Amino acid sequence: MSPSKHPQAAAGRDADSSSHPFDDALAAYALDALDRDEAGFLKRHLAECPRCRAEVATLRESTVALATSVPQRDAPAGLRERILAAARQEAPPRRASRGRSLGWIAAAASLVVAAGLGATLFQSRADQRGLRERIARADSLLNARARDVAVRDSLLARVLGPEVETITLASTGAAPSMRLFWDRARGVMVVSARRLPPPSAGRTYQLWGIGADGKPVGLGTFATDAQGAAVVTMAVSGDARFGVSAVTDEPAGGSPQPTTTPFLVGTWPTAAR
Amino acid sequence: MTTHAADTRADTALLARIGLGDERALGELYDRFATLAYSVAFAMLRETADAEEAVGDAFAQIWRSASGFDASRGSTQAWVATIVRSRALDLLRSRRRAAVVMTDYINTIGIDLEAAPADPAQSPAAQAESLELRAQLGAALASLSGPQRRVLELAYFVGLSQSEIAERLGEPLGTVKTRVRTAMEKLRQALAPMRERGDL
Repeated sequence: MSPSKHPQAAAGRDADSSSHPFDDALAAYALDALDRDEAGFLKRHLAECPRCRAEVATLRESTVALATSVPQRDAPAGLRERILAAARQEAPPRRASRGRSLGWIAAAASLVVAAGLGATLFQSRADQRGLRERIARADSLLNARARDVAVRDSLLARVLGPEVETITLASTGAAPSMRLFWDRARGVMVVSARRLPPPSAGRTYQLWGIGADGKPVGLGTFATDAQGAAVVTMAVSGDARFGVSAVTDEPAGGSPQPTTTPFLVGTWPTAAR
Repeated sequence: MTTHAADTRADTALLARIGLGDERALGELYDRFATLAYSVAFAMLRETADAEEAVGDAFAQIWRSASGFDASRGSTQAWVATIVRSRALDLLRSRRRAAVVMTDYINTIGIDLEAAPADPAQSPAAQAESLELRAQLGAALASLSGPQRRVLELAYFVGLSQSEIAERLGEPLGTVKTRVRTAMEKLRQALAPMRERGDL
């Protein structure tokens, strides 16, 4: 249903809001962001309200814009074959129950007497399938690990939860790039730099966090290797609030306050401010 | 673009074949959406093995439930993305429940992508194929303010509820609710022309 059919719904103030009492919550429901108790009430309403169901459908479809906004990555080789193999495993019972369901049920009923044997047979098939699944999973894990190990030398494995704040520091020249991962729950910031030439002799790079008072706080110093890469972990309290982070070139050991102009700068999302 | 509309119809036909148990159709659907599926799963889980598992689970679910797909209720692409995201959220939540400490590699991408540099892992084929559609979807996202986009991302990629978002951002729940509603409505309005052309 196009939103124009229910322009009022957009404002959530429509004339028939008494019959659609959950308009304000439909968007959050479509995102699965309602708290559990609210979702329960809305679900019951949706079961009997085609108009609100259609609203949820178009809202949910809009979330595809979020899905396509992430950086594109090719799926690992072999995943396609594993998926098709799993589908093949599942195919026969599926067709049987679909095509000749009545006949199948009748046949099953007549086999009830053989239940003991049947159960054993079924059990061993289930075991087999479980085993295959476990092997496939172990395989996929192994492949993934093998790939990871290949890059381990240049990349530091780091404990990062899904709630880590991250920003990218961009420079005016195209070359270097730097990414900050701030795990505030653990008070850890991981700095990952690429294509950043090593500092000159007697110099170091220093990372700063700048809060609402505009005063830079030194978070740590680091240097990149000959390939221009660095992965460094710094202890940064999760209680800190920064609007901006920046990198400057400083004398070895770092400075209490920046002595040069920052050449990499990034803005933290609201949550970090 | 009419080609997108044609693709959309072809996708619906694929799902119908999958519903009948056609494995080749499942393979074709995978070829169409593997990059989208894996990209979303990886953005959420940031771990290759978990992302693979989520995509595997999602396609298993598609295989089982394709016959229940209703084209009148949304596009195949949106449906696939929704299923992948649900399976990835399952993994994310079970991981949190089990308090499993995960290790991650630093070349992973976080969820704040506006300033992200071009990803070298991005394949030219995938780029070219979906560039225009993605540009339109990206323009829709760009119509949101930073804070509006942020609440949607926390809900969509991290699986937080509105009250968890409020807590996380240190903002009143009412503010978060209003922002979610306004942002979703804006997104829907911005995508309305695409939806009407059948491109979504």
